Amino acid sequence: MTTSPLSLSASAEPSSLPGSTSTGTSTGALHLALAAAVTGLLGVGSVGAQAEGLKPSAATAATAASTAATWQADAAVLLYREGDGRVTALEPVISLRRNDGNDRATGLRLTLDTLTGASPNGAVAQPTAQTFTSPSGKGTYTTAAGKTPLNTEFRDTRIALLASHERPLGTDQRGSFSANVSAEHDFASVGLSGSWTRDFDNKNRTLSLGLSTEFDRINPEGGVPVERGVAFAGTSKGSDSRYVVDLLAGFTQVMSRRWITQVSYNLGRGSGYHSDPYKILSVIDGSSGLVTGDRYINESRPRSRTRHSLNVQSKWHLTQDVVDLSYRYYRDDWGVSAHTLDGRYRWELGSNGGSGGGAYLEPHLRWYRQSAADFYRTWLTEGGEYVSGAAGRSPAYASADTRLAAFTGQTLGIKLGLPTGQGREWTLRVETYRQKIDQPANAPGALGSLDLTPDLKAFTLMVGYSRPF
Amino acid sequence: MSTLVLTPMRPSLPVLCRRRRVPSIRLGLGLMALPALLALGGCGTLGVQPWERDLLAKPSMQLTVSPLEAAADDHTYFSKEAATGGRSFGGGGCGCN
Repeated sequence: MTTSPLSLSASAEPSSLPGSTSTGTSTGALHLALAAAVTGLLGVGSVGAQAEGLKPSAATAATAASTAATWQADAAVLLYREGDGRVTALEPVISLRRNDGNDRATGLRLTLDTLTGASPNGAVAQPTAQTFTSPSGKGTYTTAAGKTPLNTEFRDTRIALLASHERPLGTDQRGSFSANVSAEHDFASVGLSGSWTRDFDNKNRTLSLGLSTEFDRINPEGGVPVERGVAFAGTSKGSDSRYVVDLLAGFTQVMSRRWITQVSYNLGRGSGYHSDPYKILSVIDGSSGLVTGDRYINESRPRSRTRHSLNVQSKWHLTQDVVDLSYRYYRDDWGVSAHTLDGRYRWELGSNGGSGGGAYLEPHLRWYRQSAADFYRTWLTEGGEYVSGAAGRSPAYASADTRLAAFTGQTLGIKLGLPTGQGREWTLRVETYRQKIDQPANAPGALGSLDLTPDLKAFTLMVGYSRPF
Repeated sequence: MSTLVLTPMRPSLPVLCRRRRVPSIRLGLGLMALPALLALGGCGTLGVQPWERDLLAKPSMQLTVSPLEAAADDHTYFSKEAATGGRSFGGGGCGCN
């Protein structure tokens, strides 16, 4: 956190965790009222809770050390809704942060996450109806002819808790530490992370280094399926685990009075169970396109994954408005590479020069493109990569999860910020997200006339409220 | 100021889109040192004096203005896309991907 004689308060950020999960916003009047009630009980002050990873001092306008402890509360509700009866998520979150007046900040964030709807199970559409066994093994669900099969049993509730602490570590240095736990009925995660930042050149340059670890336990409904085994035909064990380590290095440079830029690099390594226990692949006839032989098999992914991400962000202050542009290049050893472009324009509706005291509108555009994983398959062809039966064969890794397909994602959104005085602010954000998944080439027989990878369309509504106390 | 010269094998934009051997962890660890080199060998002509921070000090100039929104976005995109990371540790901690 930078200390500047001219600066107003800005929050220091604790490192976020691997488990830095969502925080939401939406029309949760009840949650917001509750949050306001809680904050009203607690006191006085201000410092924003932050969930981002490494926040460089050069980017921050910080308060000089004061003497009184201050508090900041942020609450939000997110409503995320996909089209065609797919996933709906409702996520309320509340975050409290205390600054002790000596530049030491402690934060706590609670996130709830309720998911309902239907999720693609990986099987390919057919010209006739298809019936599948539910993951729990307790029932079946049927997909209409020509439709992408969706698992209608998809529902989950998650609770996540994040605690963080940040403090100075001597001249021009800060450390932050955080821990998180997250639990769902079939998944649990524990994470720890720490980061160190050091300012140089009169706080015009900042170096940030971070380390994050995450341990996940996966307990799928009905057990862990046998990878590459015939679907719905038993499981191998009750649960499996995964361990993830992330390293993060960031460099922030004040370029001019109006321009700041950051370059960061993230190296991640995951070991353990990476497959989706609820995803299957269809085995089809290479001529007719109809399911044949073993019909459906469980997906299989490598038990390790190495990720590289390089992110560049710049912000420009135009005396009143602010432009925020970023680009990320991503690559992993599963064969996925991706480009992400993100742009925001903060249009100050008042004439306060963006000091946080006036209303603003912020249009947002995001464009994303990824290549497919090496082992992504829309289906497996009988007699080709896959041969049914006990003496058959199958590829070492195969997944029909469209999140590993080649696709383009586009986000279009707008946010309204409404400060109401004394550091309090309401925000309303509306966004649409569309995924256009590349259609597979050379679909055989009956599949040629079907939409095998329908677009994903989603709508997001987020309402937030923050206040010091 | 340290100067980094990148010489692509094929000087064309789509070079990033072509399949190449994935960088090893060793290379990744080497890349981790890049920000440190930039920080230590940065250009002294960039930057501002403390009294010139009036605009940089505004909350709207924080690299992450709304941490709750950033976390929500990380979570959403983590559950819908293959790519993750790059700027923070956000994204994991759920069984959604």
